[in-house]
Formats: sequence, C-alpha cells, structure tokens
Amino acid sequence: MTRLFIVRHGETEWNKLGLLQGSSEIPLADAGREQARHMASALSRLVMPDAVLVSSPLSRAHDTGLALGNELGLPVALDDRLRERAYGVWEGITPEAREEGWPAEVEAWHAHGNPHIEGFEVHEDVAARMVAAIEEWAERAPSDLIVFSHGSSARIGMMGLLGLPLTHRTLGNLGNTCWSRLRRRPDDTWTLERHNVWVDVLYPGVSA
Amino acid sequence: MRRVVLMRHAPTPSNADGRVQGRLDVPLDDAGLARAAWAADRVAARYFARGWSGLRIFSSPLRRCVQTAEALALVIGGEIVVDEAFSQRSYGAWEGLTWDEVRRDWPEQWSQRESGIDPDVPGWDGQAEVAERVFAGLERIWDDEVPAVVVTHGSPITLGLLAAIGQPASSTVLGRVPHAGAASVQKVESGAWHIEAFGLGAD
Repeated sequence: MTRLFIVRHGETEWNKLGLLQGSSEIPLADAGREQARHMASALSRLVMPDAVLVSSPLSRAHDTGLALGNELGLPVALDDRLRERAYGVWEGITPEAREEGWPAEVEAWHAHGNPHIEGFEVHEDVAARMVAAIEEWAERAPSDLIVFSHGSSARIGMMGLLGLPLTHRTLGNLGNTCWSRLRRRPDDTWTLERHNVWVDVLYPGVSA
Repeated sequence: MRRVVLMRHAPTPSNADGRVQGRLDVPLDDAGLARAAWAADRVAARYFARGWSGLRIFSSPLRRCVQTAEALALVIGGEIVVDEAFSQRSYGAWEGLTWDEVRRDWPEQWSQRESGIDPDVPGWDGQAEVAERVFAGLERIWDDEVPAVVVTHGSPITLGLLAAIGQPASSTVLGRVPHAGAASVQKVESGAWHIEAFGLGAD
C-alpha cells in the first residue's frame, strides 16, 4: 500500500515578508536551507529505502527535495504539475497593496472562493493537475512516494485526493518543511494520517 | 490565532496488549505516565511556548485521560475540567477482548468497521452520535473564547473532526491520532473549521 509524504519547501525571503510567490522563482533563504537539512535528517529515518522522490520544478521545492535525496542517495524527479498555484498580478506585492487594489477580490479569496484577478489559477485547476500527478507517481512507486511542493498547491492537492470540497479551507496550509502523510487504501481512496508534522517538536522517529 | 488542541491519552497496559478498552477504565502504568510526561513537554513546546494564560484542559472522565491531562497541567498549568462530551464510545461486547480475538470471532463485524460503518455489535455506540457529541463540545469550547486543550480518545478525535469539517462519520478521510499524540483545529472567519495539524506524535 502506498504512503504519500507531501512536503512543503523551506523558508524564502518572500515567505518572511508575507508576499505571495506563486509561479515566481524565489530561492530558499539560508534559514530555509537549514530547515531542509533538519527535515531530511528526520524523514530519512521514516521512509522506505526504495522511496520515489518527485518535486515541483521551482527551485525552493527542488532544493528542499534534494536535501532528502542527498541524505538517502536517491534522485529527485521533476514534475511541472506540482508547481505552486499562479497568483497572477498578486505575486510579489504586499498584503496591503492587495487589500487596497482589490478589496472585493481579497474578501472573496478569504472566504475561500476564487478571486477574479488576472492570472489567478482557480482551485479546481490546481486540484486537477496535483491529483493527476500524484496518482500517476503513486502507481509507479513500489512503497513510499515523497512529493515536494508548495503551501497552496499541496493543500489543494491533498483536499483533491481526499475528495474534500475545495470551497472550504478544511485543511490548513503546511508550514515550511512541514509534511503530511496519506495512505492509499485498497479501494484507491486516500486517508490523511498526519498533517503539518513539524520536525522540531512532537519529534518523528523517537521510539514510543 | 486561537485554536483547540486535541490530545489522545498515553497508552495503557491494555493498549500494549492490543486489547479493546472503550468504556473500561484502565489507568496508565509507569510507562504510560512517562509517555504522558514526554508528550506534555512536546505539546507545550509546539503550542504554548509563548506563554498562554488561563488555559483550560478538558478531559474525558476516564482515568487514562485525566492522568494525561494532569501531566500536561504539570508542564503548562491550567485548570482540569472533566467533561462527558469527550468520553470514549462504548465498544459493547468487544470491550476486554484483544483485537486479534475480535478479528477471529467477529470477522463480519470487523470488516464492517474497517470499511467505515458501525459494526453490528451489542452495546456499540453509533459513530454518528459520538461525532455529534464531540463536535458539540468543540463548538461550546470555541464559544468560551479561552485557550483550551481537550484530552480524549482515538475515536472521539477522528469522529469529532470529521463532523467539524462537514464529513459523515462513516468517512475514511481521516486516520487516527497515535497514543499521546495531538491534533489542532481552528474556526476561521467564515465559520468553517479547519484542521491545522493532525496525528502529531512519535513514529
């Protein structure tokens, strides 16, 4: 039975500033690289030796994945369908500028709807490509599948796999280098077993 | 942001033996108490590092939960409130059996449970009622606007959270929080609940 670990990238400068990154190519900050090393050290003890690793091509996710790949001696494949949601004209602007320029759209977005702004990739499209990619890689993975992705696309992807409605934020976003674990059931549906596991506390790998 | 933390009790000797407990009031032994202290430190570090005050710790009346709640209170302080809303469901005729015996002697009912539905077992508490009872407790706690930890059991956490996210009690989208593990939930602006973290624990 396949276990899926879905991991969010480490911290970037834009994360610290509270800016939406979306499709923008923003590298890991030094703190993010440190987080990735901690994540890799913890996850390398939890996953099977024949795990399959696949990442969004954006460097913040890929470099996070490489930290684990190097630890395990495994390659990290890239799949463009695992990229972050595009936020269009909202990428790289401050929350204040968003509020000022698009008050109604920000309100719709906070109520978990799709805002009508240029270049925003809607929930349904993000879910469709994330689910298709994960199901395809899960078919190929003999045991564990480790996916490196992003705050919004990881959350929407998990909600899609679980069949949860996309109009409610039933799952919170993953923190930087936090992960969730899902298990594929014999009937090909998924169960969420862990969500937003944080490496530093409630420490995975400590024996009971 | 405000949240409710849900903790599952530390394991008892019955858990170690793979025995069904339900409403049976099995206390923690020394190993369980040590595990509860370990978990209390980690829950405190994750959620309470910034020094919350006025914390209330709601606990199932069963001793394994009250003991786990006491371990948490030793670390972060707070008042323990015993609350029937967070008690364990009855497993009826299965209580006291090992899970191996259940699989062997109740194969049909075992399969029913595995597929997410209530097994046909005398004295079994239906999952929809458990989900409703726990969710009502969560709503009540949220309305009190005080920082809160709920110490309860495996089924009440899974079923209460399914109700909170609008899923039927028979859904298999959520697994089970490990012993001495934790989850956290928040009610957001729109009035919907969301799961911030689930299944935290050692494994």
